Formats: sequence, structure tokens, C-alpha cells
Amino acid sequence: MANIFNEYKSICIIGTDSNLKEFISNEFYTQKNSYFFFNNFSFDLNNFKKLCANYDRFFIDDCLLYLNKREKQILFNTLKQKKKKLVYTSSNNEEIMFSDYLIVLNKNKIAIEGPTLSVLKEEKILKRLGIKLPFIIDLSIQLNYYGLIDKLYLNSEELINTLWK
Amino acid sequence: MEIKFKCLKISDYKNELNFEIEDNKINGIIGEKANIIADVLAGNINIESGEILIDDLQLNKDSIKTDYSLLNEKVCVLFDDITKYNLSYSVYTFLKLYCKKNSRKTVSEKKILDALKMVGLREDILTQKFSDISLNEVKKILLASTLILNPQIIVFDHFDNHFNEIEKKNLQLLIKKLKNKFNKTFIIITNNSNFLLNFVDNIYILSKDNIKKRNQNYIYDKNISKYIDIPEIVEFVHLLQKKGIKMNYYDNLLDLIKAVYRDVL
Repeated sequence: MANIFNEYKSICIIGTDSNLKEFISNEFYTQKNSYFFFNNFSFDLNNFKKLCANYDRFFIDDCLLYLNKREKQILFNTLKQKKKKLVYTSSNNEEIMFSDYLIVLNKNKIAIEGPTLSVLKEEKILKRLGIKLPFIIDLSIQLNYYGLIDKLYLNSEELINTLWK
Repeated sequence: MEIKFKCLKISDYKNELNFEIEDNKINGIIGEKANIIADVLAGNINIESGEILIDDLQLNKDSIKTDYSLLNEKVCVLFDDITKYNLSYSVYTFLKLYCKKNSRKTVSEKKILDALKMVGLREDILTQKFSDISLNEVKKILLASTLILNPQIIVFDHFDNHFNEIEKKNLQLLIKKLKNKFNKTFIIITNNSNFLLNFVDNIYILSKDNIKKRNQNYIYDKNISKYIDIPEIVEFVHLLQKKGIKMNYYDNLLDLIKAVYRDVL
């Protein structure tokens, strides 16, 4: 897990029938210079930005849902600019798109993991695990089956421009 | 059972609240001040003037303190923030104490077990402490406690948070069953527009100044983005319409894909 953490900037952990908070605690709690957001019902962007001055690594347990889409984008842009690392759990499938490494748990064990897009392509496995794909990924995969496109799109506008030239 | 807010003035809100929550419907409330409705109905905010009418119960500044137990019999509020609950007991003790506090009737073991089954939990969770179970399980137990109390009106204050997609779907199915079979009224306060899509009967927008009521199709209106993120499937159609491509709104991916296929070919 430490190797993955060194190589990737943003790791997302999702899962069914799993205690994601416990997984983060067990795997990452010894990390130095880290800040943990657990059960933080007042999680907000301003507080997070202030903490960026003092910590290099952040662990967020399903708190991103307290931000809207624009605020989430700002948070990830801030992390990128300040070269900070993030591990986050999520119950919202759309938040997966902010990560570059994805870990999927099933009954507290790792079922599948890897660079995010590689994992998302394993659509059948994810559906068997009860994981809903982000909208644009699911749409891309299904349109690929219909023969309308030949690659995965990460952006609705790009997909629309390809289909309706 | 409908709720009427009549000239209601509360400390956390600038203007008076005058609106009705429709009976036997799933009512969504969005907007930055939406959660104050949950806090008022839970007795967490004081009424300065005006009243709340629930069936034959009339609540104002003075009567809400004495009639709080009567309010609890008709309305249950479920909060996302679990720190609002005293969870220092075992699950079984919590359920017994919580139901005793909020209901004049005794709670049978069968009722507890039935409620746990309805929310997808097994009997063995009763012996566990809250510190040993996941947030997800904690929330299901809180939902079970509400089902045991069996109020006519249930308020979810961002309660759908932290449930994964399958659990959200199960929650929606449970709510629909309770509405259709037992005539319950629901208030769903959420920031998750996907949860409201093809689910709620009405959408109320509670902004800083006023409250507006819209029907369920408001979820497809571009103006909803002032209050809540637009569902991705709806936003996709907005982008198509912006490009001059005619496309209907769909609430499931398969129908959208079929429509795209027909249009592109």
C-alpha cells in the first residue's frame, strides 16, 4: 500500500459490505504529516485549504459529499497545485473520477484495484460487486457496445462532439 | 397527514415561513436553508411566532415545549449528523431507550426484529456497541428506530449521505412502500439531486428569503443549478439541447442510450 501511495496522488476507496474507515485506519494511520477527516459533518473547503499549509497527506472518509461539484474541483486543483496527496473513501460513484488509483473493497477485502480508468473498464466485475459506474464512463462503455464510439470518454462535451459531428 | 407552516418566524431564518407539505407524498426540500425545517420539527430551533399545524396538533412558541412528545409521535426526524444521538449504549439498549423516550407505547421484541429486517440488518447487531459498527450500519439502526416508532411523517435531513448506490435504491424502495402501503408523508432534505430524480412528488426550494414549491419535473430545469448540482444524466441532455440537438429527458441510462442511438444513426 505504501508503494501505491508514493506513486499516485489521489487514491479512491469504494466498496460494498465494508468498513472503509477501518480500512483506511489500518493501512494508513502510521503515515507522517497526515490529517484525517473521519465522520466530519462540517467538512468545508476553507478549513481544508488552511490545513494544506501544514500537512502533506490527507485522508478523507466520505466527506467530499458535503461539497458541490465546483468545490470538489477546487479542492482537487488545490491538491494538485500544492503537490499534496489524498486518500479518500466515497459512497458517491461520481467522485471516483477525481482519483488516479482506485481500490474496490468487498466484505472488507480488496476485490480489484489499479489505475482508475483500468479498473473502471472492468464493468462486469464492478457491477457484480454492486458498484455503479460514473455516468460518463457507463455511457461510454454502453455506447461502445452499440458500436457508436470506440474509446472511453471522460467528458460529456467531447463525447457529444464525436457523436454529433 | 399534511404539515402547515403558518406565519412561522424562527431565529435562523430572516422571513416568515408560509407553506404546506403535502400529505402522503414524497416531498423534496433543497436550498441552503433547507435543513432548518428538520431542526424546527425536531425541536432544535425555537419558534418566535406563528405556528405549525400537523393534523389536530397546533404548535406555537408556548405549546411546543409542552406538546413536544405529541409532536414526536407524529413526526420523526433522521439526521445525517450522528453526533446528535446518544450512541454510548449497545444497539439493543439504544433502541429500547430511544423508543421509550419518544413513544408512550412499549416496544415488543418482534417489532425491533421486523424493523431491523426492513432496513437490511441482521439480529446479531443487537448485541454490538455503536463504536464497533460502521457509520452505514449506525444509520440503518437509526432508520429502524424510526420504523419502530411508526410516525405518519418522516423527515430525512441529508440522511441519504454515506449510503452507496444500492443502499440508496433500497432506501427509496422502502420509502415508496411506506408511502403507498401505509400512507406516510416524507420530507427529503438533500444535496444529492440524483436521489431526488424520478423519486419525489414535489420539490420545495428554501432560499435565504422565501420558499417556493415546484413539481417533480423541476429536476430537469436548468435553474435548479442555483441550489443543487444537476444530475449528470440531465446535464448531458442540457448540453445536447445547447448544441441544438433535440432530446427528451430520461431518468435511466438505458433509455438515454436508445434515444442517442436512434438520433445518431
